[in-house]
Amino acid sequence: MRRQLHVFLGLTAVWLGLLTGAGCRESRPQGTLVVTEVPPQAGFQTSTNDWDRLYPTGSRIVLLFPPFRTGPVRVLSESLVAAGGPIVSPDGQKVFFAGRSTITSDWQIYEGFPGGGRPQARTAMPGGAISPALLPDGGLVFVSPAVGIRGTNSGKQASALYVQPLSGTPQRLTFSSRNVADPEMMADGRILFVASPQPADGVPGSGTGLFTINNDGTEVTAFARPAPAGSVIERPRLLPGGRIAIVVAAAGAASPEGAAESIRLAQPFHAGSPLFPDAPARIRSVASTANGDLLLCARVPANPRSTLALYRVPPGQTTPDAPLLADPTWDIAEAVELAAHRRPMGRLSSVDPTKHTGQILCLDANYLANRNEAAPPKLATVRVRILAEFAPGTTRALGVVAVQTDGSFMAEVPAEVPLGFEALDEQDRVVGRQAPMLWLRPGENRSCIGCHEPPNRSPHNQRPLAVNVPVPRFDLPVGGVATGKAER
Amino acid sequence: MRKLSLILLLALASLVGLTLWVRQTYWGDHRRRMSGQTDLAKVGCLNCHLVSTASLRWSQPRPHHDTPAGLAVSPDGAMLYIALDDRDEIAVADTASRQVLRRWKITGRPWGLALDNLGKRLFVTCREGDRLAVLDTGDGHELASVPTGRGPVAVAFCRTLNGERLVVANSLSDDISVLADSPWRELGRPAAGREPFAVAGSPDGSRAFVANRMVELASVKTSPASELTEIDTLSGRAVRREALASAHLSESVCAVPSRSWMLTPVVKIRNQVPITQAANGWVMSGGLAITDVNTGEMLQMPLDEANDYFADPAGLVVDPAGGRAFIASGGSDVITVVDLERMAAWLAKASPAERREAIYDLALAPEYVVARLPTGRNPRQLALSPEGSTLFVAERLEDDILLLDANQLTVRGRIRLGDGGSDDPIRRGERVFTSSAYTFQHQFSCRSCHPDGHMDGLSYDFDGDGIGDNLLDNRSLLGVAGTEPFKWNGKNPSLDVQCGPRFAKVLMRTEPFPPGPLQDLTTFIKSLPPARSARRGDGKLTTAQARGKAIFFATRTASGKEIPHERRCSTCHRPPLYSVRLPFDVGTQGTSDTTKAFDTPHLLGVGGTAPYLHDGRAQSLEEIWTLYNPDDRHGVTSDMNKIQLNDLVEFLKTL
Repeated sequence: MRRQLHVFLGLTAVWLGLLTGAGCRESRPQGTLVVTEVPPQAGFQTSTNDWDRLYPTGSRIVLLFPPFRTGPVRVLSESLVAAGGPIVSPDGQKVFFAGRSTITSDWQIYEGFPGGGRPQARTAMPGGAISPALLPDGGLVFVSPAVGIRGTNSGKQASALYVQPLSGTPQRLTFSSRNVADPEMMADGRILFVASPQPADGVPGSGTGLFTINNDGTEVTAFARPAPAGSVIERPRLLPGGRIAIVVAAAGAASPEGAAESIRLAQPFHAGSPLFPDAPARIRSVASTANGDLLLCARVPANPRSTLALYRVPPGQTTPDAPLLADPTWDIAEAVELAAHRRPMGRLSSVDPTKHTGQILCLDANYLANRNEAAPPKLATVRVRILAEFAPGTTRALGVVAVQTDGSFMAEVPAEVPLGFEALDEQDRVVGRQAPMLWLRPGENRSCIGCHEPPNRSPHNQRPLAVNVPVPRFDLPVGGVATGKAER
Repeated sequence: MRKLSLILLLALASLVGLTLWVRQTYWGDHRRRMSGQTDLAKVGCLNCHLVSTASLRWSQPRPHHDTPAGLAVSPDGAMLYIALDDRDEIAVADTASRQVLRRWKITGRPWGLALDNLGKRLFVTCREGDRLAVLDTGDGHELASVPTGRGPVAVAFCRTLNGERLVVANSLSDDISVLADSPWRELGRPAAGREPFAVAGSPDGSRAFVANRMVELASVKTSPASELTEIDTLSGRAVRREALASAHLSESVCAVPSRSWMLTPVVKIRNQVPITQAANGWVMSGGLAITDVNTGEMLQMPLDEANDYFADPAGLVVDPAGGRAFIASGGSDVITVVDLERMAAWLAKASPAERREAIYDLALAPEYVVARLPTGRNPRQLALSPEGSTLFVAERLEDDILLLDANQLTVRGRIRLGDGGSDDPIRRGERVFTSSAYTFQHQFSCRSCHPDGHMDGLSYDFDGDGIGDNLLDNRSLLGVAGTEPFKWNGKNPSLDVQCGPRFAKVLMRTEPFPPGPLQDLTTFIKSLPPARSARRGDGKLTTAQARGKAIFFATRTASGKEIPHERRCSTCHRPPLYSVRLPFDVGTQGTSDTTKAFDTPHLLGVGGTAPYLHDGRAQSLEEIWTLYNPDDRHGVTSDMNKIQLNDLVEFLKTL
């Protein structure tokens, strides 16, 4: 009896194994792509929402299988009226994208199932959620509300980065009045994203820049040179060989397409170089595959009025060959490979939820790179006024902190408020100003080398004098009244 | 029967009563008196009793591996000599067939190698034998054995007008043995910096340059510096000492033909800066120190990149034309190739200020770094074939020698020395220990602060307890097994905790080690024996050391006054670990310290772990008592005379 049971269990196991294995092979052939198909549009319509324009009604996420012929496809965004921005989990098993269930509903993040089945909503954010990215522990990173980098939010909350743990409620990561967009996980565990100042010159999105932030919202840092005036950076994506691809498009233009550039991680503040110098500036997206090929979505060079086509470009090649797929009935807006890829490094949070403040340490408010010690400049800054932006466009001083003789100062400041700084001389004249643009998370210790710190600089090995004196604490003013000086 | 039961019951009750009485009246007092602690919550029997080093991992037998250390290439390029320190062997490999032809036994942990100009004699430093062996390369016969200082690790052969010279870096005695030939004898032993670790001769042989791995002892609140020591090989004297500012862990030094440069790979440290972040090299970064031997100008150039680091620069060689330098990154498993022409061109157009600030610019390296070549695990020592076409890389934790085409920068093959030892958890743990793969942007490894499991002699300001508080001395990991709890405040009960989430959050700035690698890592750390002591070879104490031992275990002062139990050396530093593993207030709380009581460090190998005290304020053992024990709370020492204190120190150095 026992022997018969063992035989039965063994056969059942073999059958289940065959069934599962066969299913995997059948549903995911190597080289399968996750693609966004967008109905061709007459032009890039202006709207308050980037994503409504990028992915109009009818946009869908599909699986395409080699050899990539047009025809029947497997739709991952079935039942949604629009979808876009797909990503694949590092194990190559899961697909996430943003979608809308009805014409009037908000964008939310959905999980699609390559093996079949209706997509499941993973977020329920007021104002919507777009641009998913995945933390190494499976947590979702996204942008909310669904404004986008070119959008106008006219008095509403700027779009911010959020992280939603596998089990838990969404946590906000960014706290500035800038719109943020396009998060991308870097190999070192930071989140790379695009941020734009509020449109001051009437050109939404101009002056966009690339920033990084930790997965707990700490250490927000400029990552690369900002876009030239009149243009926007879009879709940063990691490439092999220590590079990042971006699409640089004209701000306010009638098209979201532009030229693709690569930025070297080794010298991110140096000028980018064109990825496809011979191709016209009609590129919508760039992504890399597991073997280093680039997946490029662009207009056919010979026919700018054609639909967006998909190209596969081998490493080192700067001109696309014939399209992998061109469909006159669809714009192929973006493509990612359904394959395992490098898992980014994780990071333990340094946020202390029991605190409401953080500490800032500036090593030298008078820092000058490559200072000529034979003729040192007169140290002008003797005090620093700390500013806080309580609401978009509403900035008040939190107080003034004395600068030590070595130029260092420290202060304890409210968390999750955009902070700015004014360097003051002996006569309290402002000799330098940085608008509110960085923030601290609760319990965060944040440092900088100095007010004129060039990018990618490491500090001198000197003990700052500011660590030897009591740290002044600045609180948010009650009723909008700023606190007084807190000199030492 | 009933009577017997009654008797037994009474006996049991008496026993219980006696136990309770002893516990009530004597046990607490015993613990309090013997441990010197007022709070007895952490005090148990095992703090003092049943402690043995015999059961500790480091005193158990461990597997040995074919681990390559020093390399030397014969003048015709046909033979490669490889020191296998863990086997006490020298391997001789044919570079064409990439086969090991012979192995010669040599005692004393062979480490550094050098050949004479004809390739007839191989000079071998024996790190634990405190000697230099001269081998006949024909048959491996030992021609001579010359005593050196303690811990010789590197040797350079120099030809001078007055004959041949050997310059030996003695890593433990912090000096340099200059040997003259016919027969080999010590011509002089000038002082080096701290832990001399590499030697290179000038092209004409008249000078030798010694790179020192650790920084000089100085106040912990000043910027530290290591030393590049210049030796006159003719006289055997030190003629110049150049400070490498805020740079240390130099494991190589090399002259650049056609230029007056000596190159030294360095770790650029920022221990004075509060560790609020790892990004942008706020903890450390890698660099290349350039010393112009003619002008004395010293520059430091970065080797890392803005978003990627190449930790633990170790071996360095320069091709015969002086066009390229190859630097092994032991933590990142990479060979960095530097175009020296491009570097020179950048320096030529840079202003003095730009040259001085170059090391801080993390975007500069791509201007002269032309390749990053992947290797196996933990590349350390390098050698070039005489014509410069083949680069030999000792992949230390692979038991391999990697052969690279130095012109094409491609792999030619490998010389297999052993099986890699992947079945050995200690070897696997050492791989974790030496790898920077787990830290943010690969900035550093465990080894970056604990070279060879020891310490770097620096104090750091971790920001977990706020900025500017609690500057902490970095403690050695040698002999640390069985001395838990860890951290200066004794809050980490085990190495698993010490190396786990806390380490990831405060230093690595990433995620904790996965469970498997963490277990291997702690196994490796537990296998590290204490640092070598200054005890004589026969194990006996000198007269001064014996006097010092009596002072250490004294119960009365020299004047006959009884020393309170809690102030006797042996109360807190009880053998065999010389620690009862409890926190004590010895009057060393500083202005920024948040606690008075600090964990009691073990004293095994304590002579080589300066600086001392929790924040590293004492630069020597003497200073613990002459400067920082005004109230006799750290032992009763105020009545000691100079000789007695010296005796005590001499004894401590034997532990």
